[in-house]
Amino acid sequence: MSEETRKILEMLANGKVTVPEAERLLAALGGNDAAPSGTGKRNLKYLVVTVNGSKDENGKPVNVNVRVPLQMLRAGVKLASLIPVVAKDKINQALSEQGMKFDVDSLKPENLQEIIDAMEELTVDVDGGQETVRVRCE
Amino acid sequence: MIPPSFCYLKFHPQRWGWWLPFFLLWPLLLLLVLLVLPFWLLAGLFLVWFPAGRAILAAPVLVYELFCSLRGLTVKVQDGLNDISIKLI
Repeated sequence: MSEETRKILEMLANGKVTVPEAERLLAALGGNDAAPSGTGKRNLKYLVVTVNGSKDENGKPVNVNVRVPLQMLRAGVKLASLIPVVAKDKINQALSEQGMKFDVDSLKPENLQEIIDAMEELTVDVDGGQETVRVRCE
Repeated sequence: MIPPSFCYLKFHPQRWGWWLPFFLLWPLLLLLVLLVLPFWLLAGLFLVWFPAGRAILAAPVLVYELFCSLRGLTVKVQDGLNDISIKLI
């Protein structure tokens, strides 16, 4: 870590600069140091879901690979914004009954971008004995 | 925004797949849009004043965007008997 980076982080810790200002300053320093969260991001395009299931009666494994363009999620969220409020309430209620406390109304395109950015480093692995499920972005 | 050009389908036990030329449907889609557009704009003059009406007006555009965003969608399912691949390019 260079002296300049250390100073910027100290200023951030002391509250002299805000997080976006610190990001801009770190970005202005160039690529000599570790990139801040706003720079050096991979250009994520796909959400990949891989399911390696148990073997069927023929002894062959069941595999499912789905690659969904993230643009499709964005378009879907935009389209979801047209859902009437009454229907959204019913969806929220149904999700709540399934144990998912989630407000569909809070899913907006700008929020989705934040989620996608956060998924850069995210990989979900579910190992259920013979079946494995893997979710990642690429 | 460009809609998918090809759809690749492959089903077990075929060794080869089907390339469906979606781009041949583009002129038909354009023709449909040109036919519907005057009515859509006319309806827009009345519907734009109501929130629900605005949603109705925006829906076709968003559906088209969703259709275009299908490019790159890949689904592969394999088991002992079935081997299905669907790709939109």
